[in-house]
Amino acid sequence: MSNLSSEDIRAKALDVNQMQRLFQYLKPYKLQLLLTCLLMFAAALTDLLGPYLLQRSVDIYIANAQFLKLLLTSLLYAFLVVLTYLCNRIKIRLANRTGQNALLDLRRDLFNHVQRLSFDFFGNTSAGRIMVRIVNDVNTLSNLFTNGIVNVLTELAKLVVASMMMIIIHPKLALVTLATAPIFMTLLFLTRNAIKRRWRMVRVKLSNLNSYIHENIVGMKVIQAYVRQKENSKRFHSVIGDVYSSWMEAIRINSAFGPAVELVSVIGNIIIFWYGARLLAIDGITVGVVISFTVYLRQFWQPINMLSNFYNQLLVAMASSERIFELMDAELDITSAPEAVELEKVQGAVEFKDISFGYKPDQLILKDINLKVKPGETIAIVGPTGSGKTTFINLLARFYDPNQGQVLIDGRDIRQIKIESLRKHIGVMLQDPFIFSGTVIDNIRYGKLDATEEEVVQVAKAVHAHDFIEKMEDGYYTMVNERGARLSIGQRQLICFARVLLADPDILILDEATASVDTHTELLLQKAIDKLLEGRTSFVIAHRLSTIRNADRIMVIDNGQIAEIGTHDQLVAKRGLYYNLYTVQYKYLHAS
Amino acid sequence: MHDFKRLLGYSKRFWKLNVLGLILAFGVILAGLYVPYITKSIVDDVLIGRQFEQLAPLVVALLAATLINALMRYGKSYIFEYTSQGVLYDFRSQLYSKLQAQSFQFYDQTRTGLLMNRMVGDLQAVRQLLNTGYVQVIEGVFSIITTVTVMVMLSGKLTLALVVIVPFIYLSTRTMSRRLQPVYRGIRQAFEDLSSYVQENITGIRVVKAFGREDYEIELFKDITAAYTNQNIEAADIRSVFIPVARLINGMAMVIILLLGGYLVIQGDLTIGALVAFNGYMALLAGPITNANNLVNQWENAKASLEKIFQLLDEDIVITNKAEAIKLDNCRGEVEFKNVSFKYGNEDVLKNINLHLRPGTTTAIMGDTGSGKSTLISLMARFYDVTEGEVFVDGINVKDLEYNSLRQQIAIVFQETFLFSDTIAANIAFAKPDASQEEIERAAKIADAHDFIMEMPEGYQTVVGERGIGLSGGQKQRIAIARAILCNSQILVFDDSTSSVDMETEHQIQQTLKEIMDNRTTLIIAHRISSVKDADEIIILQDGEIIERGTHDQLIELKGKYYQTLMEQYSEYSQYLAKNELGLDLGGA
Repeated sequence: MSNLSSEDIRAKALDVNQMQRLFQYLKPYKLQLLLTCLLMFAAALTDLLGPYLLQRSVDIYIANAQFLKLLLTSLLYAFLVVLTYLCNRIKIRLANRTGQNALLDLRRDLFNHVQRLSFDFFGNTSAGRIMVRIVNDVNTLSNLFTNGIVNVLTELAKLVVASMMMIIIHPKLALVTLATAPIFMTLLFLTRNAIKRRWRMVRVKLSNLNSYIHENIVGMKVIQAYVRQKENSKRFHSVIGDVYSSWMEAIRINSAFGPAVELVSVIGNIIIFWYGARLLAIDGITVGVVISFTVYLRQFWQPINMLSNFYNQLLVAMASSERIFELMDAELDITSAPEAVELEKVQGAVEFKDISFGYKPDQLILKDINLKVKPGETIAIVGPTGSGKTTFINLLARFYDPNQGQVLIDGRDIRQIKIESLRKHIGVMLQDPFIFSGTVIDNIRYGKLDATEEEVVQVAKAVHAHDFIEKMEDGYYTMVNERGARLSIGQRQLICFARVLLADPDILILDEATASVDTHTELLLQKAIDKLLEGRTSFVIAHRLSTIRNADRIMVIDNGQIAEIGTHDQLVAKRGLYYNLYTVQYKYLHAS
Repeated sequence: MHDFKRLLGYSKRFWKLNVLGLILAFGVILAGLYVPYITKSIVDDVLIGRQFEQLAPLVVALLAATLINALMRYGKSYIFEYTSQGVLYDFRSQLYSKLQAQSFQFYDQTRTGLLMNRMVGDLQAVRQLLNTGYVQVIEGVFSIITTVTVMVMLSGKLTLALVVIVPFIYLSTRTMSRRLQPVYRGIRQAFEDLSSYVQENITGIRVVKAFGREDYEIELFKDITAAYTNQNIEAADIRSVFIPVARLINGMAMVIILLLGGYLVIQGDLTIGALVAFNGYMALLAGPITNANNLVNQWENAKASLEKIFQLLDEDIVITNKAEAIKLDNCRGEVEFKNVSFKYGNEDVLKNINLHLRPGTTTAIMGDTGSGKSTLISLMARFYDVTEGEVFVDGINVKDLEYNSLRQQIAIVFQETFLFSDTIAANIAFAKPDASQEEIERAAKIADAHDFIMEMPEGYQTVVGERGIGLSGGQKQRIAIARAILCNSQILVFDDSTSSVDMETEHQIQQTLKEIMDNRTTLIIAHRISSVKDADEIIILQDGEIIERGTHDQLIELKGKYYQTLMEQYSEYSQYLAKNELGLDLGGA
């Protein structure tokens, strides 16, 4: 049912393909990355020279009381330390900028892709799921992009250099010392899957928690009105309980890593001492070398510790990236064909040719719809609830594509028209009057971004919104928040109406726009609408027949087909479906 | 600081475990100190002194120390994860309770995105602080004390020489903290802006697409993401200056040790083994020193979040129960508004309303958009408090009633239907989760929803998403009506609840509702005459005042606003039908 996975637990191996895709985002910055790596390498080198200098000092200068040489060596050491600082500092700056910019690109790409997705997608996917991916999942990758990759490369470099140093200085001792590494690696591999599964579970539980919180916040009024606090609280505690236990499950294994690495590292040290002692006994080695080996070993295991931590980080990041790419890969159903053109002068002739459509492949909502509408005609669409009226509109505005047939504007299939162009010429007033956070004037201006204040006021007056807007605190500049909570439903509808009017489209679609406005205001709106319908092809869906009364033609949709079509008088004379719908209200008025 | 103390308060219930954890932490440090000591012995006695028979026992000691160390480390980190998760649980629980108790006004003024950030992102930052943060501080201090003690025992002179680095450490941490603070706040804010923006965009995506504003939104988003990224980069730039400083200081310390230590060895004041051990201990100090800056970083980050969380927890709740709040039992359903006025911000929404809903009656309210109709419901259910006047239910002022018991007696069908991500059955049984299938179906039948529900793929078990996606407006409304019916409450409120339903269906619902409404007090807000004509009393509101009241017939007589509305709704049809079909003369326009 849902387009996006419900976070099911899939135990997949590390997806190389996915990692490649992530790296694509770092590609534009590969020079910076290279520089960062070089800097880290330099810093690591200077770091590693330390033990070497120490070794020489102990073996030679201190043993032979050569104080001057000791002084010089110390100064060299100090210089290296400062150099390391500078390298680190630049590296952090650079790595962060690179990572943040790569993240920025990823986030923008994701958002942009989402903007292009079709109604079908949004109809089947919860807003919360989409949000989490754009906002939170991208953030999860931040450590990976900024520090992660560079750190891994550095730690690997350190690892390699430390090993090399050991091998160069004394190959036999080195081999024996490094023998513990493969043992540790195998242990790591064995626990890999267990850890991965547990962290995945944590992510699932957290995602559930977030969805639940989101829903509770948005629906809090209903929760309070129906006194549902106790029950929801119970559920909430169960959800956070799940998060808690899954987390501790993962921690049980996770916490063992650090200590395990320590242990293996010390065993390594012991081997050095043991073997080193034997070599010393036969004069095969100096004390300085043995000591420096202990230092190099520490510099060998530290990276391994970091790398195993990184591995965990990587798993978490991979889970997020999986979700991100799932969204990124969502198909764009409604796209402009490559040969699509811009609409120039629109006459407004609309034709539905043999249209059949269903949201689900086996359930057709509209069947064999044929309709020809002349430019400037107003068509009223009526019919029982669920008969297909809204679907009809969705096809005209190309929010969905028909299974069969064509929708033509001025003889051209709308699929051959660039979507942006199509939207410019078709104005849609939807069922749900959605108001964005911002000022009233911003909301109305959404219809025409470069409208002047006068134009906005003019349109507001035409829909009779001007009066109540002026009465508000800051008039047109009053801030209305998300979902327009400070406005009544009727007021919201009026503002949305102004928005559409401002867009001044060639084809107008009104979907139950006036359903929740009082009759008096509706009548005034009607007059304004009438004015606006002049010279425009329009489609109006409403339940109230008084609204439809003045349409050029009325189309009755029943069971997905056009049951009747004609003028009001024609249809009333037919004494058919329309007549029944029309007489119903008076019938009930007099039923008492 | 005050916030931090408060945060620690949450750990109180885990104090025993925390103490154990700290003991383990100290144990780890001590065991860790033991290692360089053994190393020193190995170097001095075995390697240099060639006393190879000492190797075996020393190695065993080393292994044992490390093993115990490893176990203690595991125990310690597990304990602190356990306690920090426990505190997190408590925080989540408290925040949630707070949100449940918050009034409508709060939700009017607060963005969902912001609240989500508190509950998710901000808590995460705090958790990290709890888990590792303060423990690391204590560990660090203890570690430093013990390590320095041992170092002094090895060589007082050398230790003294190292004192010079202390002021540098202090300076760097303080400066970093000062500069990071405002930037982290900035990051928080930018993140909130980002998530609020995305939230709105996705929720309103249909409008975006309807107006073809995808490109516009993409441009806006560019700025928002740029702001967020820039803040993050600024923070990182600050960190880049100070975090490597720890290494720098450590490095300089090593230089001092090498030079001065070497000199002391040459002079015969120190053994090589002792020098090596000293080196090892200095390396141990590297941890806490580096940590100092990291901790400051973490603390600054978490502080901003902590502030916001406590702010939320401390936020005033406007609608609260009095200490001796009365529970509303055996509600008769008598509602009275006495000289009620309500002001929202600067707007006068209701002025001097006097209304009496007698038990068992049906009252209808009509009025222009924004005339205050829905507000009456909110005042009755005490979602807001009146600015002037009083509201009585069963003769008791609603301010004196326990508000949950009050609301249990009022079932409201809101103008905008909100359904939860759950089955249709669960949504209908919302107020009474343990309702039987029969009860649910009965309510659905009355709301004329049963038929279309049965046609759905999984019937009553069909899951409907947030905002009831997938259902038509009319279907959602009918489920909402069923939900209200199932409450079986004494007072029923319908706020424009059949606006998306066609007249035929509306009439059917009205018929079946008649039985239910018989013994209950019903309040109907509507625009259609057909919805209100049968009411016992019809009220006409305009600009927050009652301008007309009476029965349908009385109001027609009045030839006022009601009459005008009736004419507007039936004008041309009434003329036609009246004359030709039903032989009636309405004598109207």
